[in-house]
Amino acid sequence: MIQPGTTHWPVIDDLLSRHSIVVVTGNGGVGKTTVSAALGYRAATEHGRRVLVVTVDPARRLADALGVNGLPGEAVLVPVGEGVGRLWVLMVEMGRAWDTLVGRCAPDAATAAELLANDLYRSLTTRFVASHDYVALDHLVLLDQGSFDLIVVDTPPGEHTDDILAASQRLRQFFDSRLLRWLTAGVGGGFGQLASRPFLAVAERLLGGDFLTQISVFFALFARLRPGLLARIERVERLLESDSAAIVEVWAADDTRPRQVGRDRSDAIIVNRVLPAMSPVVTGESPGGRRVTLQATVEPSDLDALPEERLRQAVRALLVATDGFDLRLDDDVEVAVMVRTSGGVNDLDDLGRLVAESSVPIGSERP
Amino acid sequence: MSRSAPATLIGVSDSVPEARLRFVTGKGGVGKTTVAAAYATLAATHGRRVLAVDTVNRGDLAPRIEVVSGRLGGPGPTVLGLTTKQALDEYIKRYLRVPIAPSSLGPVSRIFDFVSTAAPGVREILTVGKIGYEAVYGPWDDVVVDAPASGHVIELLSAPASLRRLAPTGPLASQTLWLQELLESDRTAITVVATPEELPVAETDQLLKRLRDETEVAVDTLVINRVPPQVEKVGRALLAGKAPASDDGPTARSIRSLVAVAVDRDVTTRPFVEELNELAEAFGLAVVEIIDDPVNPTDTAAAALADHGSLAAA
Repeated sequence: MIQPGTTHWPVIDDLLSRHSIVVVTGNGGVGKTTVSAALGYRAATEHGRRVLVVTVDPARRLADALGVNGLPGEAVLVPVGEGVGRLWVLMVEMGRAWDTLVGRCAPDAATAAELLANDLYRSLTTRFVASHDYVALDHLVLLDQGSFDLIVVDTPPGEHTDDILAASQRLRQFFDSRLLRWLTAGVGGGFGQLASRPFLAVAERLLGGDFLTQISVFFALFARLRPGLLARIERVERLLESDSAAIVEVWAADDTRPRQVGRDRSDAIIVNRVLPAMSPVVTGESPGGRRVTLQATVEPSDLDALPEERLRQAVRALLVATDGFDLRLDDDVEVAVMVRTSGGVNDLDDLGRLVAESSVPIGSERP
Repeated sequence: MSRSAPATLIGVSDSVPEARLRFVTGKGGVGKTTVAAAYATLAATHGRRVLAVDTVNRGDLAPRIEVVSGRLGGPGPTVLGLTTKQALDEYIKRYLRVPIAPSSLGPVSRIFDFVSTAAPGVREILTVGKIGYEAVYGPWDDVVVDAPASGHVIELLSAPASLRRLAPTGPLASQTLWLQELLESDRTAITVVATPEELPVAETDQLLKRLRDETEVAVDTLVINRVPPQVEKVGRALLAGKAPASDDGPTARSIRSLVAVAVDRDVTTRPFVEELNELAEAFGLAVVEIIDDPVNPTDTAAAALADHGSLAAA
């Protein structure tokens, strides 16, 4: 059983005290935003750091607790107490993610305005080349201002968590691609000379010449973002690759979806929403290395003592949802847990309590 | 029923019997795939010929259907994992009658890249076109689609209209009319799945508004998935007393903490169940509540759908 009451959270404290970037990844619905806020709170209150948490789409209650509701795009100072550290939270406005990037990267205001007014702009930018995945990471350049010691980046929920770290790379590849050159080659010269290429011939038959020209005009404009965007992307990539960046992967104890092996680059895994009656154990049984499992501290027969079938069912469902938790770990990945607290996070005290109750080492049986 | 493609599909929906077409969508992680699998297996157990389409194509749908079908025996639903590349290949072969096979068109991946990343609405029209083709020409009574999550399903369902707006004259655009007719007909319906939690409820509200405002496809059902059992009263009574055991050993303490979590789940989710019911009422939707069952979620979901009469026409 996890015993609350200590204030040492070994893996996490080590991570928070040494790094200037912590990127929080994980499937949708595992509690990434809560974990990110908790990490920022911990770094500010226990390690005296000046922390910025960049968050995407927080739940209303959490946004209220942090005081950022209705203030997208602003670093809001969160009153975490009298300690030496400070905590700011910035909520990314995802709907305008590309507008912001266009503003930052266009060579001049006229180009930016022309792009924003283009017919195809909205339908194209909302869905292609990982713009959402990249835009949260783009805030890492704020480190260069010197106002923050640590930036915790909460990555967007989605189905492609593996893609997030590769987002900047894919964006860069797109701007360097032959595809973009083809798309922009039609402007001025017309498609006549290019139609001999089988690629464009098929594309034209599929889409029609007018549509192809329209697309081409858009990308010619879009390509003018290239120098500005590439400079930012390179800075973000250098920051992410440095030793001062850590990746934290979040799993939910009651997430019954299939579990993948921890990603190569993760420095630590946090198993979130662990029940008080579950004991996380790390063993060396797996052929690929270590694994973390959750073990119930009660037997199924113990539940017979409960009155009413409905209650037995509810408790059994809780146990079943977490009992199967089994995650393989890369050898150099450390594990921490966060407990499931009653009522979730409604204010800063809840966040503090969540961090305090989670600050315990987990049972470990290393080979 | 012939499965060969006519030269054009415009207007055929009047003469050819169609399958019922159901899209299952909702926020990521709420159990769309489980509910889609439940619809498909429920229809199959009533002897209907079912195609289940996996548009996300992570391979999650087939195993859920197999688990249940294996237990029930008989021919289960057919599962189709849909990728843009397949759909594009098929489209090029069927409609453009390009004299050479797509795969020999130099690197076909260039066309694929272009179509899927650069041309707005094209990926969606290929996906929904393939689904529509199966619904109209396939040997199915029911086509159940495990559709993409929230924002993406809007793009998928509005693709025919938006492509016609952006490119009114292209060859792809000429394929959009029959698709739009199919999507807007009363054979096509959407089920939105939600869980009683804060973010899914907020997103469901947004999704229902967008489906109403940006598409012509009818939503008829709201599934509230993973509703915790109602244990507040019995749980609180237990926690107030010394039960279940008079001793205060570690096991008793663990059980009491679990009961506290079960009560907390019930109490904290109930307002969201109510909010979802209010949403359903506001949008005129039928509600199906599915009790949380981590052991056999697909069976439980299918039973709840059956109780609700979701297959009344079978």
